[in-house]
Amino acid sequence: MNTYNRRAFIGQSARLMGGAVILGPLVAACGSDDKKTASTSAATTATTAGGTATTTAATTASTTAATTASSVASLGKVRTQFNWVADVEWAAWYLADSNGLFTKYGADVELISGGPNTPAVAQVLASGAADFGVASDELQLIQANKEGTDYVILGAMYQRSPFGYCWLADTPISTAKDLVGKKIGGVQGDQVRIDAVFKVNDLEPDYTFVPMNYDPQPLVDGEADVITAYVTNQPIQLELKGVETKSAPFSDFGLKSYGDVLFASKKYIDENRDLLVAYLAGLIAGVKANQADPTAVIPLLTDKYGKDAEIDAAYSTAGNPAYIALYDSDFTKANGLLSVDPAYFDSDVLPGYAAAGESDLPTAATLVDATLMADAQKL
Amino acid sequence: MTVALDAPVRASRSWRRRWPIGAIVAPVVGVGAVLAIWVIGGRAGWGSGIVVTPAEAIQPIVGSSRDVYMRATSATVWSAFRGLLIGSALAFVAALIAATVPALRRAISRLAAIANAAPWVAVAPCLLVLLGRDRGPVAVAAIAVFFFVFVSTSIGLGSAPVAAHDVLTALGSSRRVRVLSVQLPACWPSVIDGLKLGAPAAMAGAIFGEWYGATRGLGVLLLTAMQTGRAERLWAASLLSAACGLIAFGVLAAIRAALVPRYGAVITQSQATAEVAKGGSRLRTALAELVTVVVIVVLLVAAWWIWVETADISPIVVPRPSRVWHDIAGSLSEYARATGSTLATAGIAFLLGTFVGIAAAVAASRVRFFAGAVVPVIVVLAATPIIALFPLFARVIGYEPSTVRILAATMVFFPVFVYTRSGLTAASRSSTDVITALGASTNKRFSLLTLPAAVPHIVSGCRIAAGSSVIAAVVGETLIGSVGLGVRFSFEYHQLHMPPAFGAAIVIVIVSVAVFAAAGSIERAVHARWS
Repeated sequence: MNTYNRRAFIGQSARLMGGAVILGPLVAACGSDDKKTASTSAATTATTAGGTATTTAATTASTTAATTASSVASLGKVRTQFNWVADVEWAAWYLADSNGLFTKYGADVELISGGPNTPAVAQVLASGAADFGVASDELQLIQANKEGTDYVILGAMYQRSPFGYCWLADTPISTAKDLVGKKIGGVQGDQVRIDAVFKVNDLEPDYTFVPMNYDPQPLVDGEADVITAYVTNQPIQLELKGVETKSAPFSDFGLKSYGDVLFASKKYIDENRDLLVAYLAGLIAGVKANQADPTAVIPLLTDKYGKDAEIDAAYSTAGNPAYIALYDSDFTKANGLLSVDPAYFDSDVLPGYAAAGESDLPTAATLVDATLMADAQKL
Repeated sequence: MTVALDAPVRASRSWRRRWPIGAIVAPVVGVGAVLAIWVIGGRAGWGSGIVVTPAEAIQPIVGSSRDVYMRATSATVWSAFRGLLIGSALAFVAALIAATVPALRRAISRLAAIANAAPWVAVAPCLLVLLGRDRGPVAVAAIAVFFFVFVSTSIGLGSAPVAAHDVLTALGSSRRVRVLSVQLPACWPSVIDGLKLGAPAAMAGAIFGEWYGATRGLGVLLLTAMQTGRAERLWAASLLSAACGLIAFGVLAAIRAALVPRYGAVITQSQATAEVAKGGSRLRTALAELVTVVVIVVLLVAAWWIWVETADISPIVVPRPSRVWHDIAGSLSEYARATGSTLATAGIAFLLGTFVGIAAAVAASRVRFFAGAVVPVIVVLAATPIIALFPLFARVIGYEPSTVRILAATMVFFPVFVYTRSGLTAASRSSTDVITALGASTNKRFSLLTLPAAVPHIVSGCRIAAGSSVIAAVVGETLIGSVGLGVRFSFEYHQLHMPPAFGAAIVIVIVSVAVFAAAGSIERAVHARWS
């Protein structure tokens, strides 16, 4: 609660002091996004000015100044639930929040960290404690919707899920066949994906499951030959400790999925469409800010958002480029960052889950709504 | 969790008078030995580097990240403190109601036992979803405290001198007056006893609650340290947790010591023996017990159902009772298999912990130096929120099924050790004098008098340990197990399959209540025979 209050306070004072004016150049300075940022504010200004065009020039000027200083009026607050503790994984949110990119488009945010044992993001949203969720991949939403929720995917932070396997460098693994008979470590529930990797490759799931709790040590100690891991996390943590590993996301083993899927309930989307579009526009700007300067988020993480989680700056610095590499795909180059391709869901993602043994799968038509992200790209 | 520790303290006090130098040397040797092993282990980097030296372990607390640890500690202590207040207030009121309204006594006791048996692993996620992240740790801490304070308050209320009780009754005073004027004043030391045990439990509960989503706290630090493999941080957070538990324990022990001369010591008499003493046919008692349990279960399920329907609770947060019932009824064999393996784990842990506990207590009673050296170490360990430190132990001992058994055995060890130890001093002084005067050797005296006199106490320790063994087995399974109810719960929960997850949670509650009740009836039988 305190963290939030402080953040809200900082945000408020920044706005009062003309945060947009102060922070604007800062973002521009580190953004590849110079022109777009400038032109977007200019357009906003022009629209507002146009609305009051009949009054005197002096009034128009002061209105314009006020608009620039306070951004657009807030459309509301989006309480965002992450699926993990404060981490460089959420760099785009931290940058967008700190640099006033959300408020610039009219969205206020509250960023809520998760953790390995927290209730699933889908459950937190279902309980009403958050509005917008980040799920590690689509499976959780498919399962929740089967139980009666109405979640819709709006986009994805990462075009390929970083979730995959990690193994010691001297273990020869290159295809799914090499996993047969191995001791595979993971968290309870990971078995579903491990089985799926075997099944999409027409192999019988044949492995010994080693239950772990997000601690990569069993791999080092030889209690597991392979562990499930975020390729952006455990391999880098281990490398920093001097352990040579190799890793690959599940998509390299044929199980395609997006990473850190952005979702909300259909009801919420219908009632808050403009707010969500503004929010997504701010988030896109945050992604661009992170691409432009991967180091900018590190002090934000260690001193602000993750100051109570003892963030490891060395890991965060090494991990951020790995996450940034997952932002882009051919589809995003054509359609903009964070976009997801409904056709790809039907052709690749959902068949993978079918192979995993999930029945009654939805189609992209009901599970995905790409229109909000498309609108956000235009802001 | 933790158990009554006043017994060893009392015992050690008696020999301290006779052997003052040993009183200082022995604990120093004991604590020194632990530190020495720790330093050697740290230097050698046992557990592939997870064991660090004490100096390295306190480095994060005194070094540059001092502020982080202080903020985390105060957040956890604040949650634990609020949990302790709320939990003990509720427990106190419940015990008071049970004492004044006899019709509700049985029901309230059973509810308290169910609350005690409810596995935090299963309850915490629901609490967090329902109460929010900030209140989650407080709620788990409150649940953790409730049983201790309830039991100790009940004992305290029953501990007033019988004579005073009789006088008032003869004078025609009402039950309420008796409770207020005689029973209430006499129960304070016992309440403090409960708080003393409850305080470390509250710490463990708060840390456990923080695992399930908090922005700040020792639980958060424990987790991030484990994930990033930073051994010294894991130790630093563990040490702070233990220190807080110990300080709370110490403060309450001091308060108790101050209260005893004022209100008089408690005549410890378990509720079980009190009920047996009252008489009544065994069949009628069993029937009443059964009816109570059925009524409680029906009421709980009804409340659950009404709440899910009226508050429009999402099925992925809390499912309908009917769906859970269908799942249990539909996959009985799977539930039975999981229950079997959890019971096996708990059973092995129980036997191991009981054996080591009794052996250690006997050794401590025979060899004074051993007692002096070991008891302080055990007091420290008992005040440590062990369940919350599972990740540390798992790293040190390894991610093996045997780790679950060893940790569950540790939870069993404490109550057995403490009760056995107090039992070994239970032989009446006159009997001891007689048998000594008759020329019995120390060994003879031990086997003929001391050990038999300790049996009822040992059995009481076992009853408490039996409940702990199931809970500890479940927690261990959830973290690193591969079979059992704990695994079933966490596997299904992660898949958002709520009916089987809740089914597993409910079976866990039933199993631990049943084990607790079974151990309770064994205890009653033994007590009836021995007294």
